[in-house]
Amino acid sequence: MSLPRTLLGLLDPQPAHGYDLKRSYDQHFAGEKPLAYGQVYAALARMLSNGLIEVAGVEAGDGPDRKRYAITDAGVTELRSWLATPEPPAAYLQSTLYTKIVLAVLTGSDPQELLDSQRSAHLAEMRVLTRRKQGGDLATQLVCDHALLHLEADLRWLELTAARIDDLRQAVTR
Amino acid sequence: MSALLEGDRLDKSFGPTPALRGASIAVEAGEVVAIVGASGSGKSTLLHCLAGIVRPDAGTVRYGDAELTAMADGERSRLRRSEFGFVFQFGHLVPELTCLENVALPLRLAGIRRREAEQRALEWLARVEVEQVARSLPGEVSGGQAQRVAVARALIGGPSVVFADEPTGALDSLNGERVMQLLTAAARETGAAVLLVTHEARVAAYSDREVTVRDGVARDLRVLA
Amino acid sequence: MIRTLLPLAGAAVLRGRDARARTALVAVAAGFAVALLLLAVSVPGALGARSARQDARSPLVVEGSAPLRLTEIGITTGSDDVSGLVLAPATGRVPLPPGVQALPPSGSMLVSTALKAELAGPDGALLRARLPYRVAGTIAPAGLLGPTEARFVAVDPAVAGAGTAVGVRGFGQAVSRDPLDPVLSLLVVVGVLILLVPIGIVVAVAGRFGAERRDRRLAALRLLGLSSGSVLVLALLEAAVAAAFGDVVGLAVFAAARSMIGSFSVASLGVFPGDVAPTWPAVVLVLAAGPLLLGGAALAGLLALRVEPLGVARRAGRRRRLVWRVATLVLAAALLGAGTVALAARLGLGVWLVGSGVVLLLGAAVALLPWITERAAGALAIGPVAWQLARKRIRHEGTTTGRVVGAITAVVAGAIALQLLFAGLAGGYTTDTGARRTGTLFTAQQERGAVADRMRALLGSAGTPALASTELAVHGSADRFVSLVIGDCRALAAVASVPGCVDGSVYVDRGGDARPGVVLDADGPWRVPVDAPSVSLGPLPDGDTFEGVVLITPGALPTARRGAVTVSTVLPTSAAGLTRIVRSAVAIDPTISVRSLAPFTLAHRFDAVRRGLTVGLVLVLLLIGSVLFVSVGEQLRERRQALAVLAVLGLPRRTLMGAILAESALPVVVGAVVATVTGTALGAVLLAIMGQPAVPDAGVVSSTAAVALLVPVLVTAASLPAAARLLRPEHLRAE
Ligand SMILES: Nc1ncnc2c1ncn2[C@@H]1O[C@H](COP(=O)(O)OP(=O)(O)OP(=O)(O)O)[C@@H](O)[C@H]1O
Ligand SMILES: [Mg+2]
Repeated sequence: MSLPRTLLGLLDPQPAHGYDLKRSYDQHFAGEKPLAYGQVYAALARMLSNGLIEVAGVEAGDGPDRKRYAITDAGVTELRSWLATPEPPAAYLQSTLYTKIVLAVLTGSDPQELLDSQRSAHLAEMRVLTRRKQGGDLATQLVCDHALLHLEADLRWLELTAARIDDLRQAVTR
Repeated sequence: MSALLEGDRLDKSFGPTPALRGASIAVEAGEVVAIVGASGSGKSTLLHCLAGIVRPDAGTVRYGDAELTAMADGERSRLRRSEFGFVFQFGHLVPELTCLENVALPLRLAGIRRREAEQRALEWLARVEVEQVARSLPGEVSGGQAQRVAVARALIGGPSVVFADEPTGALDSLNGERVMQLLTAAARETGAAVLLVTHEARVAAYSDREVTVRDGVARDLRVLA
Repeated sequence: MIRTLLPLAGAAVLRGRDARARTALVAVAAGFAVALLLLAVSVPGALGARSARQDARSPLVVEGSAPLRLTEIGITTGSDDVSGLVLAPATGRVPLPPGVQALPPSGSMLVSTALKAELAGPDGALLRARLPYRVAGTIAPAGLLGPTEARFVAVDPAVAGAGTAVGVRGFGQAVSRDPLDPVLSLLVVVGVLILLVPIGIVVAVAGRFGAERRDRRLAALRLLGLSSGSVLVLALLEAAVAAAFGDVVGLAVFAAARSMIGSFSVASLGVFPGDVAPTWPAVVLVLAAGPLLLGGAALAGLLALRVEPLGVARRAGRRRRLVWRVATLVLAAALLGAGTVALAARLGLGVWLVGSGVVLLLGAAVALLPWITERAAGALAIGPVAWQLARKRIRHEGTTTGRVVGAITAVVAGAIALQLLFAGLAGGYTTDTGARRTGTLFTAQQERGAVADRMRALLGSAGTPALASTELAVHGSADRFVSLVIGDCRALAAVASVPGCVDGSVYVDRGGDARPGVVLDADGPWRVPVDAPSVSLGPLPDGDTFEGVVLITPGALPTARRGAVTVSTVLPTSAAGLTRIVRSAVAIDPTISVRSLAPFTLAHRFDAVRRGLTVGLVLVLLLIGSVLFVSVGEQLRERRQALAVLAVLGLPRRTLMGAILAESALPVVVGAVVATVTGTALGAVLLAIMGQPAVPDAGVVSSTAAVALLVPVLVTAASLPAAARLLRPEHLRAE
């Protein structure tokens, strides 16, 4: 996920301080891992130099940074085009696990074992997410569901692979 | 450590088709166990054997100190009535009874008076958020509502084990998840163990642990250990 | 447990429109059976009550002086029988017939309500002429055999001296009477059984409606922990609840029939509703029959299944076996044979043997039906797609339609047998009355010849010759008599050729002691002239035939010497002035009998049995028709999904309709053949048992079969619109 573009989106409704940006980012997207201030300022600096945002005002005070940032027209254009561009369908895990399975078949160890333990690992992770989801507010639920659905998709693939492991064996050992 | 419900090396064939080939499983009191595995792997058969609905060809099913596989039909029926609850894919509600009467049925079969049984049934319907269908017949309610009614009926008698075979199979994911939440929450509250057959990982994620069935063999890590 | 199960059974039977419709149908079918059985078991009681009433009003006749003299009078006008007593009270305590509180004054009469209506009616003129008494009151039901009986009790001192009057000291004479003719009682038993077998089948079929739904319900309850025993109990309870409704309907129908029986006169065989009272044990037995039958049907259905928590499994090894069907047939034949022998030996057992033989024969025919249907479907392997679809269905599942057709087969076979019996037996129960003409027959008996001559003259004046007859003893013998027929030359010429007849002529139809020159006792010896010509006498107008008769004209023998004389003549019923003649005749002799003549009459009892059974057959056919209608609808609904699949596969609607039609048509056709064969055979056997030539009348067979087959044809036609609606695409979506 692109952090600069996310911050750009948070700045779109109204100008904000770096501190506000971090807070609202954490609230919407962070999940378990909050955003570090350093990341925020690094991203803001990069966007400033690209002309996507500008400093809308500096307040007097003794805080580390009392600058207020606002989105520029170039920033709005950039944001709109990013939102309109679909994400490339990502192939996260298959590549690694597929490599492992092929290696298991080639080395003669049981790929079903591999699949079973991967399934257990997945389910364990999904259990954690489910529990978090049941306790959380709507935002948490939506975020957890997203992760759950992805993990579920992985599991489906695992199951398909498990069902066709014999075909795979023939294909790779030929 | 003695499990609440235990299946030991269960064999079951339907004609030439083997459905279970030495499957073993153990369920502790109050835990939610998901039975997962490919279609046709024998999940439902295993569940039915454990519930005393299907008699295995070989192997034993133990519930507490009692051996289900050695019981006569009448005894197993009594056990189903007093100790077990069921939520299947299609509610198995009695079509001629209203939802309220369906939920009250286990209490009525246990000899509780009608007024009290229906009072408690109404409370359960409220708990699964469908008190508005109390007077409707099962044919007149949606699939999700029917499954919630089935959940209430499975739990009202205070069972030790709830058997659920694809309880969300006919529901969309939102409804399905809600039914699972209600089922597991109520089961944890009443201390009932849940044996849950499903092919949906998100549904299985409501469990405490899973048992994988492949080609009629159950891989219960706890039994293997 | 029952306390929990009973509401469940109640809900299953009464919840929802479908369930209520099914229950109503079962209740009506079972109700019919119950009502019919109740009526059947009431018959002996009703007959007994009737006999008791008859006994109670039969006079106790005494010789010599008596407190009352009376004569019994029968009048037939048209088809109505009127009977009554004309009383001539003497002195002392006068005994009263039942139903009469006090004797009416002289010259008046008490009448039953039925007679009162007839007297007032448009055809009452003749009756009023015959009964010239003032109506002074009504006869209470105690004095009547039935509510529709036309009866009178008149007081007329003039009858005291009539030839038919007898002295009476009271009423209440046990009369010996013929028991119901064994053939008639066999007919009644066989007829009721023939009605009951199809009703029983229909009740059983109706009891299996919705079986699929019931199986699902029972499986759901098994899952909840009901044992297989409790499930069975529940199914029986459901049957019992439905049967209880059947009993209620049956009692209601019976009560209605009972109250209608009062106004429903079968050839004056009306019965007082109060007399139609089955005994309590019989009522209990009948009311238990419905639950037993329905419970048995449910049980039979369930025993072939295993109701498991997950659903219902058919027990293995269901193949239609020919063996026991044929065995039933053989057993039926054996029972009929044994019954024949037993009846010939006049054993009461015979009726029951024949009855169970009939039931078994019909049962065997019904049981053979699906077997033959399956074989026929298997054999007729080629044909259009619609036929192939229908064949598949017929061969793989015995359809409900098939079972209802079984009921139709039973009723058609029974109807054919009954109609054959009626046709065959009618000959035996149609009496040739011997009357050579239709008209009104007048008969009067007079002690005094002078009165007889006046009567003869009066009747003769109406334009039809009137004859009188009497018997005279041969002089010097106590037990040899010669008949005399008296009439003027015109009257004698109507019955014999009497050349040269003048008043004073005598003729002889030779035979016995009747010959010229014989001396007869007629208040002193009287010799038949030696030169009396011989003639040959034909039948008299009333049908009597004589052999050995002396024919005389009034001038040949003084009236004073003739003794008791019977005058009779037949006047056309339409004759002008008939009522005036009747009035004058009654003035001469108040005991004169007036009867309508017809050359043939069907014995009343036989006719009543025939009419009753025919009405029953029609009702049973209607009942079966409605069950068939419902079952066709039910089956279409159950199969909506399967039909939808076929429609989705692109099968044209016409093909689907064809398949549905063919599926019902084959059992119906097979049923017709089986019914015709069975019915004809049964009719022939029963006719033989009853000693009649066993030649089935093809006309009777084919017309009965045709009428009965109309039922399935009409029902199918009536359900076609519903089928067409179901097959419209928007209804073919799976539910
Ligand atoms: N009543 C039956 N008669 C015949 N075969 C059966 C029966 N029930 C199950 N089987 C067979 O037993 C095997 C296991 O069936 P089971 O229903 O237990 O599978 P499952 O894991 O529940 O599958 P799914 O996920 O599709 O429900 C299958 O091969 C099935 O065909
Ligand atoms: Mg299954």
